[in-house]
Amino acid sequence: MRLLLYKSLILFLTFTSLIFGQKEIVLKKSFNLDSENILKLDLKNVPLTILESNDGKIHVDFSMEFKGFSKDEIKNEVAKVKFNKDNSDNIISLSFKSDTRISNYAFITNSPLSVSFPDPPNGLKNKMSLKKTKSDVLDEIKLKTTDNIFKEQIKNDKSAKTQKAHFYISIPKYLMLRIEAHESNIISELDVLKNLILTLDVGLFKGNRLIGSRTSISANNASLKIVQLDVGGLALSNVNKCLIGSIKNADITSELSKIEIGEIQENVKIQDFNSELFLYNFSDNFKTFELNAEYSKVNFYQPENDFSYLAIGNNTVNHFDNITVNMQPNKKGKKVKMVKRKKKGIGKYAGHILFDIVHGVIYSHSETFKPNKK
Amino acid sequence: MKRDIRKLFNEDDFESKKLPKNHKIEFVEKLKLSKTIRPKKSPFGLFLKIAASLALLITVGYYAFSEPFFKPKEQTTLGLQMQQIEQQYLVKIDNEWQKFISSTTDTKLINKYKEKLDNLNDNYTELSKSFKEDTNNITALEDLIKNLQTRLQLLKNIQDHMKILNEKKKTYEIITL
Repeated sequence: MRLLLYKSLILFLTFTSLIFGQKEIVLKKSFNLDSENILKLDLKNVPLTILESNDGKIHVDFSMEFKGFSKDEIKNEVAKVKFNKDNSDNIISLSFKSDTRISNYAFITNSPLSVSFPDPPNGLKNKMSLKKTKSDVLDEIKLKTTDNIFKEQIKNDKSAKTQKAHFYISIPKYLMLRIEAHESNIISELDVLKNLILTLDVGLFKGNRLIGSRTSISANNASLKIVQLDVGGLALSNVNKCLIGSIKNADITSELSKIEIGEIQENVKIQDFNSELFLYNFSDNFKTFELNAEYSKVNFYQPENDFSYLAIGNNTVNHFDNITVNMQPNKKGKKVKMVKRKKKGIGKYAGHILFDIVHGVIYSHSETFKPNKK
Repeated sequence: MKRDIRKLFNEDDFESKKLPKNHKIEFVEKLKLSKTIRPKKSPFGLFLKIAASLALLITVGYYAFSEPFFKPKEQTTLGLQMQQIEQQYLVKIDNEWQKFISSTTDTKLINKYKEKLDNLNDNYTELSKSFKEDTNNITALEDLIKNLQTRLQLLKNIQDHMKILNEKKKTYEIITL
């Protein structure tokens, strides 16, 4: 009888572990901090969520969940993650690197999946995009999406092995953070990140409010979602999706990217080459906005309050609601005035907009232009 | 009638036969003839046996420990499909590149795009290595696809942009709003 009971128990445990998968702890550690410490994270091929720590310490919690993997396979997957810690001066350096990409959710299958690789859309169309409100942009930032093109097919594939990574680092509020990341998705759930210095090469960064004059984000071949950038600099290269809820006292240097800004507040400057920009809204007190662009496509949604506007440059096409014009089509490279708008003196004056743009395309939404009769 | 068994064999009822005189000599002769002739042992026999054993061990060891035996590098279905699609995309990317460089004389623009495409190509090479390690890894496959699509999209976008700039439309020097 007793033997039967033990056998049943073993069978039950084996069966349940197969159903619910196996969780392996890769690393679980805590580190003490001095008040002046800086935390440096070196990440490669790992996903990370940054949380707030309430006890003044840094807590690292990295675990992986497997379904359909053998013991040896699990051991190999876990062994791929290399961890290193270093202390020098007041900098605590933590390094998490994997040879192969680890995602929050990944799968491996032997099934002959049908794969179709559709062509990308045939270039951009000459269309006037719909305006988004600041709330629309914020909703889009908060949306959890997995752009997994095989998700539907894998859902019904019983032979697929699945792997989930849970990697959390909890840090005290206002700890200065430096992150160097390669092929990593980083999500910060802290309300505020002060003086973040981030270098991201392939991957994603999502954060709430970024403050501090030393804030600096450099992203290449990546996606960025920031609720609020209060001060600092962004350097973007081939960022296919940059969503910013609101921005002020900041500089953006960009190329070959797609940037959507929910609300432009005070003193923002953009230097761009060949990106697509969506300037959806301006605050009622934005003071100055400067855009220096070459081969850029600008979707310009005019401020609701009174404002003044000057565009200089050459060889730029301007689409108004009622007409499309080619401004200063000289190819000699000389920059001259193309568009000017003085403040109307009606209502509150919000600020001055300056475009310095060559070989550009501007969509001036909700604006009409009536050429003078000669 | 009872008889003593010990006395039974005293009575010699068996005929005794006497051996012939030459029996011993004949027997020895016969014995000599029946000996088998053993072949002479070759001095290289042992050496050949050792060599044959070693050769067998080496052959078995080679096939046992060579990679194809433990890791048969068969292409998975996804791997084969990816190869085909990669070829198609690379041809398209090259065609778009040729069209782009013949549509503009702006060397700064061309150099920027060349640099960008080279960076994406380097990234693709890294991703390919990762994919070859495990051709059933969907995440790696998606990254490869996105890279190819990005390159093609970049070239199509800039050509569309050039097309917009070059279209004939009304021209103005200063627009006052």
